[in-house]
Amino acid sequence: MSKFRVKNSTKPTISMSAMPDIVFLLLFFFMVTAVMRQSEEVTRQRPPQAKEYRVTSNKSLIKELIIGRPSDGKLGEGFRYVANGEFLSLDQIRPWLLKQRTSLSEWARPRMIIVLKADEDVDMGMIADLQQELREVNAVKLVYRTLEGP
Amino acid sequence: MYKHSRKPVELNTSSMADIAFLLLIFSLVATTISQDKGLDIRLPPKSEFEQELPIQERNLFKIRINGNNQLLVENEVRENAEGLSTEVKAFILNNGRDASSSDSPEKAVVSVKTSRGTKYAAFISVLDELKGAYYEIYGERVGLTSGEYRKLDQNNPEDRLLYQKGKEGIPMNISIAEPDF
Repeated sequence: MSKFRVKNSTKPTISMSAMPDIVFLLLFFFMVTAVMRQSEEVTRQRPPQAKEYRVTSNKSLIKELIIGRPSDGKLGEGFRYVANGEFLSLDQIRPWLLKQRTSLSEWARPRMIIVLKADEDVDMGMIADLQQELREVNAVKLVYRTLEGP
Repeated sequence: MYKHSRKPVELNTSSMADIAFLLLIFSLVATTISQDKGLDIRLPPKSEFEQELPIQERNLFKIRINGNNQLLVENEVRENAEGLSTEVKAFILNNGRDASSSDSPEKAVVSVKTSRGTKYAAFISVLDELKGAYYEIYGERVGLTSGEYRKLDQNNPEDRLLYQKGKEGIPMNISIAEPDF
C-alpha cells in the first residue's frame, strides 16, 4: 500500500452556477433587440422584392401600416388596410395617424416614419389614396417595406 | 453552545438555469425581430395652394406605368424596368452635355406616374432602379459601391459624414405623381 494515498472522496462536478448568467444574458439580448408582437396576424401579405433597400435605423419612430388580404376567409379576398391588428377604412387612417403621432414624444413627432408593408399585388390606387392621407397630416416620411431582392 | 459547521452553506442554484431558459423561450416566442428593410421616400408636404414648379422639359425624366404594368420611359414603351438605372444615372450626370438631357444633377427630376391599376410590385421595381442609380452616384463620390453606401450607419458619426458627403448637392429628386386614372 502506497504511503501517500490521495484522499478524494468528492466526485468532480462542473460548476453550473454561471449557467443562469449566460442564459440571462441571452434573454436580455433578445429583449433589447426584439419588439413585442403587437397582435395576431390578421392579414397575410408578401411584400415585393427590391435590391436597393436601406435599413431604417430608428426603431422608436416607426409606425407600421399593412395592406394585405384578411387571413380569415370569411372577410373576403379584397385587400384591406390594417394597423395594430385592426382593419381600418380609408377615412379611419387619418385619426389613426394623428393618434400615433401623439403617442410619440414632442421632439420625435415630425420625424415619425410610416413603414408600409403592402402585398406586391396591391393596386397603386390603394397606395396613392394612403399617400394622400399621409400628406394631409404631414406624415411625409414613408418607407415601402420590401424583401431582399432577386 | 451549538457550534456552526465551518463549511459555508450552499444554495442549490441548478434550477435557476431552468427558470432563465423558460423566460428566454417565452421571449423568443412572443417577439418578432423587426426587419425594417425598405425603400424610403419623402412625400411632398401638403400645400394649400397647388404650386406648379416650372421644370424645363430637358430636366425631367418621365416614367409612366400603365394598368398592364407596361412602362413608358421618355416616350418609349418598355416591358420591364431592367437597365433603367444606367439610363437614369446618365441623365442625372449629364451636366448639360446632351441638349435633350439634364442641365445639372441638382435640377434633374425623375418623375414616376402610375395608373390606379398598376401593381405595387411594378412600381417598386421601378423605384428600386431609381434608388439604385442615385446610390451608385452617391457611392462613387465617396469611393464606395452603392451597396456599401446604402449600408452606412446613420448613428455612426464617421459613416454619417460619408453619407452626407455623398449626397451633398445632389438631391434625390424622385417625384411620385398621383395617378390620374
